[in-house]
Amino acid sequence: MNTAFPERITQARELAGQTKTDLAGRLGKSVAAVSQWENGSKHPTPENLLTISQVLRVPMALFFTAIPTELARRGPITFRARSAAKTCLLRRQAQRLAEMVAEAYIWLEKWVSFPTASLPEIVWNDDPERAAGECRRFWGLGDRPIAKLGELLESKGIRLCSAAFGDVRFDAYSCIVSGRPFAFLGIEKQDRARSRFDAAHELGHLLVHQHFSDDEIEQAGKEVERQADAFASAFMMPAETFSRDVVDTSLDGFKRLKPKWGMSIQAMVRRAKDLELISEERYERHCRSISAAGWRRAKGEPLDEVVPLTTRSLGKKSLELLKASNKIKPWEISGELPLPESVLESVFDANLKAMVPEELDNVIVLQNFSTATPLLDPGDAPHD
Amino acid sequence: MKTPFFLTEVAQDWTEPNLASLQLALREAEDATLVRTNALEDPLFDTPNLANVRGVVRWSMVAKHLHVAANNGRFHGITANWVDLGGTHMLELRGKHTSVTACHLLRSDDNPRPSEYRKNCRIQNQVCPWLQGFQQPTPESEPLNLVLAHGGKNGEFAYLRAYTDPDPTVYRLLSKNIMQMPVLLPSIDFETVGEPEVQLNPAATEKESLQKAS
Repeated sequence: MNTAFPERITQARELAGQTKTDLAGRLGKSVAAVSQWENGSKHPTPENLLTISQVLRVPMALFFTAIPTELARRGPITFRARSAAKTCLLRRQAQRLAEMVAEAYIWLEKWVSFPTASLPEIVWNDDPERAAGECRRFWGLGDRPIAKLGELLESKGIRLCSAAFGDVRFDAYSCIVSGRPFAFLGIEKQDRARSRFDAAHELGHLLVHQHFSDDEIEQAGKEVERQADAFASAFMMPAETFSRDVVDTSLDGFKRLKPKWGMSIQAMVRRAKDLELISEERYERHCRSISAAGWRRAKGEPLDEVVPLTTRSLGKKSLELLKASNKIKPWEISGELPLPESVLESVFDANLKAMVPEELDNVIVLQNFSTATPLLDPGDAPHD
Repeated sequence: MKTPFFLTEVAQDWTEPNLASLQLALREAEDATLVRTNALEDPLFDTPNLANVRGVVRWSMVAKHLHVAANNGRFHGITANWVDLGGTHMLELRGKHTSVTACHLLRSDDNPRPSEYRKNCRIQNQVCPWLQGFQQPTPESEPLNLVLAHGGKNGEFAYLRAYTDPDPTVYRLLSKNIMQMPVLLPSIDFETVGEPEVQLNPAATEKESLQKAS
């Protein structure tokens, strides 16, 4: 009988944000049993695997599919709002999502060519203006506002994906997997202006911190976040052109600039302070007024609806291309690529199951999991 | 009394983009004035003198907005200077051939209230070589003094006028209503960004055709 790849069980568990104890509890098994399945010293029965797949909401076939050998993360995973990502569990969850999304892209690249990564080499001298300016020049941009930020990042080879971990404090993270830069944007906050800043912040990480190790990132702590924030601010609001627009430094004045710059009032006020367009005292007064108006809370800032969306289009476009060229139907992808629905949604920005045509909707596909053929022998599987 | 008039020198200083910036600065100043003197937000403003208070705030806001706009490079070829009138300061927008000061009016057929400064400006204009052609102007010639007459209940008009007569009600109109020129509304100029391109992988297509051939 074919056996499951143990590392897939670990991967699926961590993607679901569960500890071994959590999983054991939900399965009614001992923690030791789960550990043995995960380290490969014992194999779960097909019945156990079926329960695991149901509990962790992953397709059964995932356990019989080896992790691609070319999957290797280089550099750190950098989070925006590290406090929200301080739990080891959330970090692991993010890491696993990145791995699986990268796996999906590796599979997709068999059929589809994506824009190649074109990131400038930035040497950080604690000068965000220079770094942001270098990046804009490298990409042939001037100093005007960027409306289509998502399109810009994707056309420069950064793959934008959504991430939902059920935690509204989570903002975004980024990493480079097998040479492919990824930026994951949280979708729980539903805040366009913030999402744009997050994307630019992650761009800062990808450019400035890609050579750091996880440990170095950990040691640097808030400093790396400050650097990425400063980069994002300078990249999205270039000093010269933004300063020209800041005439009325009241909160209403900044509100009027929101449709043009597509940034939050809070980000613009901060930028104005950094550029010394407003005094420290005025900045603090604005911060107090922003808090008092409740703009930091869930209801958010006014005029978010006029801010351009950070569009993710690579996944959808590749899906359309595959469909149009008759390579594979969207609903057949999960058969070829047995990844959890949440991962496929993050990649394609679409629910593939919902794309099944009506005439096929009532067909029940029977699968005999115990006889499913693994793509690789478990012995060939890569080790961590 | 007004006389339609066109002057190349004025058009050189007050190009369409500069007029657009004037319009934007006036709109921003009006908004800033209303926000700051909103009696509903701040009941301390709720007095019969609100209109007077608002007039003073507007005067300050208009000057400040024009000053910042000039300093931030929104006007091409125009600089802003504060002219000391002995206690108060008047903002002057100075171009190559013209000098503009703003004045708020209730109605478009009103004229600025007489003052020593305005009288001097009118006297200068009567011999201004840019306007009269009595003598060949030199780069050092005094500029033509213009008034940016703006106002209305909702800030609906703004004109550039040249007062050139001893009579303070006589002027030459040098622009259309700046606030009603739709082409002057500045459009937001974003960076041009192309769509990311996704194509069928040529290697995959080639492999497929080889498989079909075999």
